[in-house]
Amino acid sequence: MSWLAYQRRVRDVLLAEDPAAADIAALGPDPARWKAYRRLVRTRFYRTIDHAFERVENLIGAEPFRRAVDRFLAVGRPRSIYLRDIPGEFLQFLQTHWKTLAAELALADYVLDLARYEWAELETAYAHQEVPTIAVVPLEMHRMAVLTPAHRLLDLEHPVHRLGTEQEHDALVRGPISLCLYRDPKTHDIETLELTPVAARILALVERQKFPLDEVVRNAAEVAGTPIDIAFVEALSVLLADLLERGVLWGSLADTNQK
Amino acid sequence: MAVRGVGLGLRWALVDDLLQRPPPELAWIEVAPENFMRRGGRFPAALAACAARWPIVTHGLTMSLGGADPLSPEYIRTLAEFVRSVESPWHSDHLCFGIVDGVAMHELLPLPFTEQAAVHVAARVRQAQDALGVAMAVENISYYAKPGAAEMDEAEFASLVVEKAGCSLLLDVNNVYVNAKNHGYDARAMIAKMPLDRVVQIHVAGHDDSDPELIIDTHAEPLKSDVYDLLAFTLSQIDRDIPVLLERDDNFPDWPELCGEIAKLAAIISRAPARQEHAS
Repeated sequence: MSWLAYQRRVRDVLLAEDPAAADIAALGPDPARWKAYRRLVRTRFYRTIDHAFERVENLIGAEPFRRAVDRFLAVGRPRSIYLRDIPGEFLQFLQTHWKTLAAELALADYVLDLARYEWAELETAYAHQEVPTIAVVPLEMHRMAVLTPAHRLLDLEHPVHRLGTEQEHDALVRGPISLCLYRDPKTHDIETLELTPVAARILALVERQKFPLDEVVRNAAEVAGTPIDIAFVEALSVLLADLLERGVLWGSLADTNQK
Repeated sequence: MAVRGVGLGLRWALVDDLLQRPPPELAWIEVAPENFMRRGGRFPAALAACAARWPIVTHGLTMSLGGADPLSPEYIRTLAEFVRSVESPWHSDHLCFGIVDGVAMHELLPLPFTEQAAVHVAARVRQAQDALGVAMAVENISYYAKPGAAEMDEAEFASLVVEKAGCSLLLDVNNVYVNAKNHGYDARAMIAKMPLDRVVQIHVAGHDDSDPELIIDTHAEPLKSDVYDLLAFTLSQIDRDIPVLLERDDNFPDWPELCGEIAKLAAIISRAPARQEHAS
């Protein structure tokens, strides 16, 4: 067996849900020790993924959650060299194979929403690029607005972020909601904002970095069927001031080519 | 700032105590770049606070020097930036493989002790060294199983790699101890046979010996007296002042207990022949 073939066999034994005894024996004369490696590798992944999705695991139970992780390790397979990214890969796997896994493990739809929310919290906490690497000027409507990289926008079918709060009675009841998670620049704590449909549309368009803020606002109002009247402008002003104060909005892109 | 004396691996669970109640003997900090690269928030803030106080040495986890996948240019570029930013005097990674066809196992998996493997690893170390722009050191790992027939022992393998790569050795004394117990050889003899003239740094850690059939290098236990003794023996074989790092990754003890281990290591270093000669 070539060295590469050997490495592949080791990988398969470590990550398979239930490796054949013959495959383990093929690695060398001491299968018990390769089983020890298997325990070490899997324990590290279990701990990392369990930690990231604590609320999902509590909600669905340890055994179904472990089966989903086992399936990910065997089929999806961890790829990032950053261990902290692996839960995000697990979430991708869950999303891709959701119908199969949900049927097999009897998972309700809100489980996927909760998994997306839990990962968004971590991803926001990990987000790098602390200071702007682009020139940012104070917010102006005719320029493109700039969001902190330490934010995530989420559109969920269930308000699962309310779990563990005073409003948790409806956390698992279907009801579409848009969220903005961001990292407080001073405390590094992760905060979650519930967004109105107009605010969600504005932030989603700002995130795409294609249009100046005035066009973004016009589009959001049009899609929501809201007239741009005094009440709208006042609410917009409050929203933008709040986002600036929280550090979600950094300002505007200092690009003189913008109209 | 020169790197000498006792260092401690920077772990998130230790940061507050480290910054608020630093042990007087602590002289430097080791960081795993993968835990800090491409990461914002609390981690870079803690690293900056440590870097203002102590020299930083980088110790990587995922270069997969024995693997067949090409070294990731993106990883190496980001790593080079990180190593430069903390002014690490060298960068180390392990004599192992951990990535196969893009699948990352996040484990230090053993290499066959063969000339072919040594040549392969050495070429990758040279490649990494050139790309990073800083000297590399390779670390001997704890290995629990042997992948295929060996042509040489672990010390000969390490010697061949460092010779062919022109790199240094990060000698993990606890790993030699664990391997000696698990594979039935004499730890001191293996240490003495290692390329000690190439050692630039030493690691010590605790291990789990609750299963006498297989000792596991956990970094989650207090240092055992045998490992302290083996460290003293190792330092007695080296005529230079070598920095020693305490690795503690899990099952963290009370801070005073950890500080006690650091003080004990500092005392062993101070009694080493290299220090004694320097003092006299």
